Amino acid sequence: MAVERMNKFFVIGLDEFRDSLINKLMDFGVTQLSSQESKLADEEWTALVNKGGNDEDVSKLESKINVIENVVKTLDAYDTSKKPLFKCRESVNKEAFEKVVSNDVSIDERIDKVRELSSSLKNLNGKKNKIETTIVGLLPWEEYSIPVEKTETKYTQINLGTVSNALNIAEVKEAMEMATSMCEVSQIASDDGQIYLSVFFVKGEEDKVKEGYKEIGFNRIVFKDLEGTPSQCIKKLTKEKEETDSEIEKIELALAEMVSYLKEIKWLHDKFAMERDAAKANRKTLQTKRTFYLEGWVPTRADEAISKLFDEYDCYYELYEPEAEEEKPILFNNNSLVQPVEVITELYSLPNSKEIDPTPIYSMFYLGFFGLMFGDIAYGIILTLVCTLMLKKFNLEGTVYKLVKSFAYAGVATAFWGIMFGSCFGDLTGVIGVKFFDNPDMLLKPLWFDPITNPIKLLMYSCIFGTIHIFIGMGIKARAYIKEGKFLEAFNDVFCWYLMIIGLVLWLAGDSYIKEGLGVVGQWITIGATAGILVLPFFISKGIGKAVGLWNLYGVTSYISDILSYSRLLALGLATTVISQVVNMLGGFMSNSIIGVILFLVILVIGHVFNFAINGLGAFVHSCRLQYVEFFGKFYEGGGTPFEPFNKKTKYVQLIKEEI
Amino acid sequence: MSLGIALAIGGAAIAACACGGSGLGVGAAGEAASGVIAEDPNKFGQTLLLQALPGTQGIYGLLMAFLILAKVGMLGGDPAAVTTEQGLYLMFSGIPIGIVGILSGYAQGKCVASGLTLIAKRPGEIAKAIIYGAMVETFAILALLVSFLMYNSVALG
Repeated sequence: MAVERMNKFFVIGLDEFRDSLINKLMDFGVTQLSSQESKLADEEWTALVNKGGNDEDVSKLESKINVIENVVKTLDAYDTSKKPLFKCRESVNKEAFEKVVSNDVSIDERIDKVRELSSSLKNLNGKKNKIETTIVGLLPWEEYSIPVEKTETKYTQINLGTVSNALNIAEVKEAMEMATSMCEVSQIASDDGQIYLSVFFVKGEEDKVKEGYKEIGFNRIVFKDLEGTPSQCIKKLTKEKEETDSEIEKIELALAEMVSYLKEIKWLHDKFAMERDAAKANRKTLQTKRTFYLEGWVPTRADEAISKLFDEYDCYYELYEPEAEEEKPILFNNNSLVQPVEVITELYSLPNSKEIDPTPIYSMFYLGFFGLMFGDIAYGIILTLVCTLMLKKFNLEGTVYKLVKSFAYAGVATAFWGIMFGSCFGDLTGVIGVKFFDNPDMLLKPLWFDPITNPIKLLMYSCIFGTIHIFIGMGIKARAYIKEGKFLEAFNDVFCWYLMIIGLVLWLAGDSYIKEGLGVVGQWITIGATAGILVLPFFISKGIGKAVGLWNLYGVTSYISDILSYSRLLALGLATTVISQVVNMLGGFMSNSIIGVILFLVILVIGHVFNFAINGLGAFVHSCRLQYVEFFGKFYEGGGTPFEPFNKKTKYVQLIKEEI
Repeated sequence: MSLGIALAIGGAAIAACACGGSGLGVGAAGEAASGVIAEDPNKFGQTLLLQALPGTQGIYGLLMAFLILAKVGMLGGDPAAVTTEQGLYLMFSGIPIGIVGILSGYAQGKCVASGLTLIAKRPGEIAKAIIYGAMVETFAILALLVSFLMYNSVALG
C-alpha cells in the first residue's frame, strides 16, 4: 500500500499527566490531533466536559514569538556572514538545545537590548531626518545676516518669506511700494522656483503690507526653535547632525555585535514555537475536573508504539478503524526510489481516501519521459551531480528535498536516453574530432538509433509509450470499477476502449508495418469494440441515457489526441539535441588559434548552459503535464487532505530524534 | 546562388518569426511578474520559472531556422545545390512553426500572466499555473513536429 493506513484513536487520562503526554506525542510526531469543536456543540458532551487549555497561553506565546521574529529580522540585516542558497534548519541534538534555551533569562536580556537599540536607532534616524530638512530649509538664507529669532526692532517689524520667481525683484519692489512706502524689500537669494525676500516695515503698517503680500503672493516663513543668523544655525545643526551620525554608528556597531547571539535567539524562538503548539494541542483536549480526553489519527504502523506510550501514562484508550466513507488524512509510504516523485502528485492533488496512490505506478514513466525529452549523457550527469551535491551540502527538507532528489533520479534517466540516442553535449565529440584531430569517426554511436536521422521511428515509439501509459491509467479506473462490482461499467469505459484503440491501430498500420493480414483482424476488433460501446449503455443507464453510447463513440477523437500528445517526447527530445548541435556548430566555426579555441569554449559554455536551462525546464514541465493531463485524466480525482502530524514545527533548528 | 536557396532562406526567416510570439509572450508575463514581485520579492524564482515558459516558441522557431540553413549549407559557407521545388518545399516547412509560434507564444504569455496573479494569491498552486501554460504550448510543439517532419522528408542531392 502506498498510502499509509490510518487508525483513529481516543485516549482518556488523568489531568496530571496531560502536559507530559502532549509533549511526548509531540516528540513522537506520528499523531494528528482532531479538533473537538463538534463535540462542544453537543449538549450530551457539554454537560460533562469543557474545552481544555486556554487561549491566553497561546496568545502570550504568540506575542513572545512575534517579538523574537522582529528581533531576528533586525539582526539579520546586520548579519554579514554568508547567506546559504537555501534556508535550512540546523540539526541539533536535544541536549545541546535544552542547554542553550534553558538559559532563557540571559537570552531575554539580549532580546530586550536589541529591541532597545533598535528603538533608539529609530529615534536617532528620525532626529537626523529632521535636522537635514531644517538645514535644507535654511540654506537659501545663508546670506541673511540678522538672527532669525529677531522679528522686530523698536520701530520696525521684520518678515522673511518667498515669492514665486514668475515675478522679478523689480516688480516685487514696485508692487510693495504701491502698497506702502514705509517698507524696504530686499532679495536674499533666488533659485529655480522662488525668490527669498526679507521685508522690513514700520510698525503700524501691517494691514497695508499684507495687502501688498497678497498682490505678490508672499509666503511668510518663520523659523521656530532656532537662534542666531542662518549661517550660524547651519553650522550648529551640521555639528548636531555629525553627533547624531556618530551615535547611530555606535548603535549599529552594538547591533552588529549582538548578531553573535542570533543563534540562541533563534533557538529560543523555536522553544516558544513548540510551547505554543503544545498549548494549541491543549485546546484540542476536552477536560473534566480530573481527566482529559483527546482524539486523533495515527498510522497503523505506529499503533504499537503509541499504545505503549498510553500504557505508560495509565490512560484508557482505544485504537479503531475509521468508517469506510470517512475522509482519512493522507500520508504516503513509498520506497526511496518512488518517494521523491511524490512531490509531483502533491503538486497536483493528494488522492482522496477511496483512491490508491498513483505515484509508484507512474514514477518510472515520469522519470523516463523526462529523460527522453532531455536525453543527453552529459546533461544527465551534470543534473545528477548538482542535485546530489545539493542534497549533501544542504539539510533540505520536505518539498524541496523531494524535488531535488527527483531531479537527481531524472538525471540518471537523461543519461540513459543519451546513451540510447548517442548524444553527449549533442554531437560535441564529433565536432571536436573533426576540428582538432581531423578524425571524423569520434562521433558517439547511439546504442539504439539516432532520432535526428530517423525521427519517424521515435515518433512511433513515443506514441507506443504513450498508449501504454494511457492504458495503465485506464486500467486503474477499471480496477476501481471492479472493486465496486461495476463490471459492465469497467467494460464500457475501459476494456472496450482497449480493444477499440488496438483494433484501430492494427487496422490502419497492421498490414504495412507488422504483418500482412492483421489489418482485417484489426477491422473486426474495431467493429466489435464499437458494438460494445454502443450496446453496453443499454444495460447500465436508464431512459434517454441508453443512447449515450453514440455520444461515447465520439470519445475516439479524445483518445487519438491524447496519444498524439505524446509526440512531444520526440519534439522536445529533438529540440535538446538539435540546439546542442547548433551550439557546437557555431563553436566549430572558430579558427584553431588560441583565441579561436577560447571563443570556442565560451560559445560552448554559454550555449549549453542556455540549452540546459530552457530544455530542462521544458522536460520537467511537459513530463508533469503528461502525468497530469493524459494519465491522471483517465482515473484520478484527488482532493485528499494531507496528514499533518503533531510534531515539532520549528523554524531554525531540527531536533535530532532519539531512538524510540 | 539559386532561387531554391533564396526560397529556403525565406523558410528559415518565416520559422524565426516564432521568436516574435515569444517576445510578446515573455513580455506580457514579465509585466505581470513585476506586479507580483512588488508585493512579495521572495517569489522571484517562481515568477521567473513561469515567465520563461512562453520562451520556448522562439527556441522552436530558431531550431527550424537553423536546421533549414544548415541543410542548404548557409551555415558552413558552402551552399548546396537546391532546386526551386526543393526551396519552395523548405520554405513551406518553416510556415507551421513560424505562424503558430507567434500566435501560441502570445497566447501562452497571456495565460502565464494570469497564472502569475494566481500565484500572487496562492503560491502553492504554481503547478497548476505551469500546467495551464503547458496546455497552450502543446500546439506549438505539434506545429514544430509538422515543420520538422516536412523538413525531414526533403533530401538534397
